[in-house]
Amino acid sequence: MQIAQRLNKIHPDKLLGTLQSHIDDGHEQAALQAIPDLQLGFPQFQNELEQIRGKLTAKLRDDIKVIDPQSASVFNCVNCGGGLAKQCRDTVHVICHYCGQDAEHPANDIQLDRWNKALDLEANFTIGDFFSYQGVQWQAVGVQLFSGRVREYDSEDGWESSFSRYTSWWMLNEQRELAWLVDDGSRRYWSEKYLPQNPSVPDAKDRSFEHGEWELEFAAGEFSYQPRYQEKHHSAENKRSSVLPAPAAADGGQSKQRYYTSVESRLNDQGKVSEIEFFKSRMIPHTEVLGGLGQVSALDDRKRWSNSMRLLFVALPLLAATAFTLNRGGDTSLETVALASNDKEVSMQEIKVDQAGQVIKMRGSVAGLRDNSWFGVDVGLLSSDNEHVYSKYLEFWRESGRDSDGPWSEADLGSSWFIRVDEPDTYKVVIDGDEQSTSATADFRLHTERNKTSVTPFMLAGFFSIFLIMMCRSKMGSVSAAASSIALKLNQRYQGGRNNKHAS
Amino acid sequence: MKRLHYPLLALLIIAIVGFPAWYAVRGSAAEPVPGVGDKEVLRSKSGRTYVGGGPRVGK
Repeated sequence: MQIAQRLNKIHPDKLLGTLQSHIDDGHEQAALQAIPDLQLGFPQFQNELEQIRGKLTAKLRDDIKVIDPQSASVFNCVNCGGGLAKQCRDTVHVICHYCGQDAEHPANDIQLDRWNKALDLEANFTIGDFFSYQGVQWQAVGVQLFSGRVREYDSEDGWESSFSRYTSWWMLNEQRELAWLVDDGSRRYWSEKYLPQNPSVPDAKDRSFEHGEWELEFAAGEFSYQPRYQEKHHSAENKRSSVLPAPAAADGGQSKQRYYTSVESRLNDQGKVSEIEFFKSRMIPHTEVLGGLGQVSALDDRKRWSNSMRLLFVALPLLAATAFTLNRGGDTSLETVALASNDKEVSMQEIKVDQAGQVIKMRGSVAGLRDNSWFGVDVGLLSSDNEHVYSKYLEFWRESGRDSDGPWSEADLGSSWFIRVDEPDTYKVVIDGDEQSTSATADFRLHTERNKTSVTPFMLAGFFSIFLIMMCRSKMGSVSAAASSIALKLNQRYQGGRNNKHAS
Repeated sequence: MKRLHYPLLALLIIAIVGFPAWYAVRGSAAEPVPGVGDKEVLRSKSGRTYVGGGPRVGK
């Protein structure tokens, strides 16, 4: 909800009423976040907005969630009055997620201006929200957004560089331990500090690492240092995973898991390394993220599409079984005659049909056709009363030649089709040669078989099932990806008529 | 709509399997051979016409 952006364009007469309607609709946090911007845009309503802020602050402060009420201190931002919590024992700096300023020091005192963007407090995941990881409850107490370039060595193309951006949530548990929940736009990772046996920073040309050069775009919440806008970080992540001890589970059990290890260096204003930290990270599957976020509805949706996919898979063997059953075959007949192009009414095999609607597969083919000639055959059926009830014309050919690629040859010497006989009877196959044929003779062979049918409808149905399976899979992925995304969502702050510098 | 998901899916699967089976059993993909006396004008795949139950025409 970008209330500040919407209301800064509104007619002043409607400002307070519209703001109140947003509050009444439950967008209280977003309204409180918008008030500093609105005070800049509408200085004539300074007092009225201050009153609304006072009411909202008092109300929202009661709703502040903390992971450990014993150790948390709840206070009001000295700049905007927004209710905040300070919970981590190492915290030295709190950036208010309502106004974007230092929450403990008045802006004028330390010349610390606001961060130029506003955290979306109504996003899927935001500061103060809880996440359950492997049975332990964690709370987001801070967030940072980094962007930069990642270099990776590829044996074929050498070093490759690509733009990347990631969100890092600072997570705190009841034991006041810190961990980081990272979203790189497509996947989520759980990251913890660890101390390697031989700590060292890999060389920038080490091919077994993915090297990142990052800049801080945004920060809000509490931190163990003072984040600066565009502060530089270097990272090196080992491309090979290692098996390392996992944190103690809620039941006290100790296990091992596969982690990607990395080392991160923070640079100071002079570009010198001011801090080096080692991390181990593990990718969290979508379902685990959804479970951790308590997204029961999304989990249900995902399960529904997953089940649909499995059920549609069942259609494939069913289709195959049905097609096989209907194509089980039956009585066959095969007869070959030497046919001249001027032959008429040459008798071939008889076909006895016992029941109406019997489907018979016919296959006509010729042999002995010379190059660059064709031969036409009219296949007909005579009823027991010697009446013509069916006729089909077949044309066979063989061609050859030579072109720039050398000699070529093409031929069509056979044709299959199905007939459905609607009246039981004993039918006789009769064939005529086509007088126009350029080949004087050919050996015509006719093969018939009962209980055969075209498999094309089954194949089309199979392809349709596969298409639906892919749609279900895509839907499952989009439901999971959308609901499990914890990438930072930022709104622009109002900057009209104001010299808005970044944090320094 | 969520409540109808599985019933609709079941109908869809029945249709996916049932329609080709019905189409095959009915012989819809086959060329009909009409009975004697049937005056229906038919056209084979090659485009030639013939009349069931009577002398061939159109050839």
